Amino acid sequence: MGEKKSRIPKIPYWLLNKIYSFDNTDAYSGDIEEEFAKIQKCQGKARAKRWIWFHTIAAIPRWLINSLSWRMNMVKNYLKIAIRNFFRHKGYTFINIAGLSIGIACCIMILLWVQEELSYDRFHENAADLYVATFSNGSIVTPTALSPYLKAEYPEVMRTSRYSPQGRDLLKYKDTDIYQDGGIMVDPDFLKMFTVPFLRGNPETALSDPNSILLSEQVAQKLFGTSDPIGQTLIYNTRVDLKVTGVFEDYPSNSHMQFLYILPVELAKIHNRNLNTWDVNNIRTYVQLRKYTPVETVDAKIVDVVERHRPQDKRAMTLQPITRLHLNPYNDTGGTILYVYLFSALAFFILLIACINFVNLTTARSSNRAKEVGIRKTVGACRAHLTRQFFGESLLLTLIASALAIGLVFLFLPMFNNLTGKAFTWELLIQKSVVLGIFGIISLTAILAGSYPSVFLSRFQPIKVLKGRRLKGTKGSIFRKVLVVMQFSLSILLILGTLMIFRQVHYLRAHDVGYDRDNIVYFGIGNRFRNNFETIKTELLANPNILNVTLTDIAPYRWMSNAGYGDVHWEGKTNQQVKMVMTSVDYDYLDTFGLKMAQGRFFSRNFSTDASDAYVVNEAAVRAMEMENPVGKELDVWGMRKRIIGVVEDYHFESLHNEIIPMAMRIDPNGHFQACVRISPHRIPDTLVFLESKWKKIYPEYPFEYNFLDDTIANQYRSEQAIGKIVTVFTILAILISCLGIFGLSSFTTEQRTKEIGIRKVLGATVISIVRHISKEFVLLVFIANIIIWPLAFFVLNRWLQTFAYRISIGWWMFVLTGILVLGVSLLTASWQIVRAAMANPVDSLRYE
Amino acid sequence: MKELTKLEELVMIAIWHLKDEAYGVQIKNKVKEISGREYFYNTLYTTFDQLTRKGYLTKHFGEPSAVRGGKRKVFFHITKEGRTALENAFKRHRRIWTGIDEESFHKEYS
Repeated sequence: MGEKKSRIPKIPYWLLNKIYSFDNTDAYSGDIEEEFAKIQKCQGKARAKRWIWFHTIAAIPRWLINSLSWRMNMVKNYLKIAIRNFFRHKGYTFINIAGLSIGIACCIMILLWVQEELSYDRFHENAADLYVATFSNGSIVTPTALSPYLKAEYPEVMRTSRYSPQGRDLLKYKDTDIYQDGGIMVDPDFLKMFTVPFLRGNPETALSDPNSILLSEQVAQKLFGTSDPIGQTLIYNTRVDLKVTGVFEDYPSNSHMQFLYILPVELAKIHNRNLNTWDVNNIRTYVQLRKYTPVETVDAKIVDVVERHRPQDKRAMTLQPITRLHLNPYNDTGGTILYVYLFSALAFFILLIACINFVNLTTARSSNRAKEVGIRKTVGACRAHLTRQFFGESLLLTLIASALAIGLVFLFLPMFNNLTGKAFTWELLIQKSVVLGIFGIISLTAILAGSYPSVFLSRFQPIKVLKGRRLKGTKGSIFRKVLVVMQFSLSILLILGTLMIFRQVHYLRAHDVGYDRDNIVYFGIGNRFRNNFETIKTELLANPNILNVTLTDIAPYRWMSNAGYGDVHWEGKTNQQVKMVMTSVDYDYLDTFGLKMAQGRFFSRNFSTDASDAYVVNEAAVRAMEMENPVGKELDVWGMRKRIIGVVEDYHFESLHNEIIPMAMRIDPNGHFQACVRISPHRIPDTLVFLESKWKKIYPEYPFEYNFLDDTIANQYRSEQAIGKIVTVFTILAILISCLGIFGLSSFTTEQRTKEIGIRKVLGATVISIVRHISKEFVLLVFIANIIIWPLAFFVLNRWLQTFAYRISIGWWMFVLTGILVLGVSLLTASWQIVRAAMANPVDSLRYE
Repeated sequence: MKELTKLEELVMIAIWHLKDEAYGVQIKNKVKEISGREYFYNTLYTTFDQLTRKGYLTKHFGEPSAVRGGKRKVFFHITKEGRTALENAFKRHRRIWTGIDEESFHKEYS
């Protein structure tokens, strides 16, 4: 019998023992084992097993009902006590709920933002297999020959497409003509690689004809209204007829590619663009690998692909997943991962500050609950029950705060959209991932806020508590002080951050860019303007409000920093690698922009050779080439050998994120695409009307569109400015929440010490000395917080500033100022209550003694 | 004095029958025998606990045995109060049912 007997199955046995846990546990499980053994003996092992399983499962519902009904009674009691407590101390409840709900609301909004940032380019069906060819310095602008080469040479590569964003084009259909931004030129495979939702037309063949065009819904609407655009013919830039072969849904905003119409890349040939050259970088290359191809193997093969064809370019080539493109800060597109981190940290800090408030207030005021704990323990509650009770109370408060927070999000979503420039709708809140996120935030809050107080409160010993002695916890434990210091530290960090962002943005805007950028109007021009420039100029200058007119290829600040590594040679070159930008200017360029010459002279009409045989370089170029006396030396940029006639002082032709790079100016009358006009600050509208009338004479078929240079420059720093605003708003909220906490804590301490204050007053203390005495503690805490956070703040902010080529230096006064600010605000909040107590008549507080 | 519930009654009667042999497994079998229904151990033991607390039952421990996984039996006995309660229940039932026999059910509807 011995060997046939098997042990009782563990799980049901354990469950059964869980189900019954009262007076006779031993006998109970003994009975089960006995019956199990009997059944096993009479009816076999299987029967016995089935019996015990059936027994267990069938017993569960009844057990649940029994135990829950008991528990519900307790829960009802807990709930009642909790609600009574909330109402009895309305002020503290308000502070807690307000803090937590603001904190949670901030978190939810930032969650929405982060979610949106991380969702970039994930909607493509092939997102996992799509890459963009990237140079090791982060540039994604590649030679045009790269795309066909990759597809032909590497079997792992399934499809490739070139991608070239266009400037603005003039699209004309019958009588409607519009300037349209947002065109791209791509290979036909582009439509198979990326998910472009077609409304009409066949994506398979849409781009096979080089004279075709695909329109987004929005552009189609503009041109054709309600009629069917398919098969209609558009006139492109007044010279080419294009057939509309498809209409696609407006492209989602969460993609690094933004386009409104698509043209076949072959069309670029009409601009005499070479589509199969290794010499210049001017196009993006997107690659789709075959499914499950490890990208590392392809990377290893293509690392030197450009160098093989252009030996002077040593940059390695890699494939970068498109899903990472938007976030990567080292790209031409400018990544946002830094801000994702920054905002997440911000949200977490705010929530943390709110939770600290909760913990501090609850533990400080624990004496109010101490008697309750004592009684509950005396009548038989164990510590676990009390922990559960107090945790439940925190949970309840958190849930109330969360409900309010969601309300706040609804209310402030439009404002948040305004701040971030995104278009969040409340529908986003019911997305699966967002709901999960919100759930996570709420749980995190409940745990952060509830765990310590519940452990702390349930720890009281009934004997000590019920004797009525003053509790240690009420006078301020070390733990609470640590939390307050943490709160102050976070506030200081946030204030410092805000200060720094604002100073940096201001610096960028006010920084001397080396030329006069105010009152410059620039607009694009074409052949007719170029060829008759001298006459047009005379006409324009006849207006006294037009001061200067000049032509150039690209206006300052419109540079894309992809000058490439063309061959640069000069007299006395050893082996320096110089990256040089070349721009084409006109004789009046210097005066129009108010540039200054460092050496030599600028181009002049008096020297006939200047038009063909002269370079003006900037100081950065001279430094890079290590030239001693540049004027008169020969310079060869991209195969064009000319003489240097002057050196212009460095000026910022790009955003201040970048350092000034070497540049050479020449005169190339056919390479001018922009006219820049300096106008006088008086009667600007009239001047603009005048300019337009002149424009209409030259180009009756084109509308006059212009930009002010200083607007363009301000736009460059818009993202920093927006970030600055967001950070400010959240910092103010964080400080508000901390202040709420300090206010609660100080009013509580004051309440506890009313009698002490009364006695001090009776003995002759003045109001000021009392305030000083009581606020001493807060001041000390603020000091400690300052000392702890300063090094950390310095480190973090310094890291951020490193991303700018031109930046402010971090001054010690900022730290001191912030310290004083925080000290002032916290003292003000704290002394509000203290002063009130100190002003009170001591008779009132002492009369019951 | 509160009336016994139906299950309490069943358990008391089972223990009454079993006399000195009244412990878990036996009581369960007896209850099944007289009521025709199988109860779970946790239900029965909850009832034992209630009855013990009310003072209708006392218990004494038996010897541990191997077949019970080394756990002792608990034997239940009916106390004086239990006896009275059971008697009251019996009387109540008799009072309620007086004047009704099985035949009367068939008479009514035939």
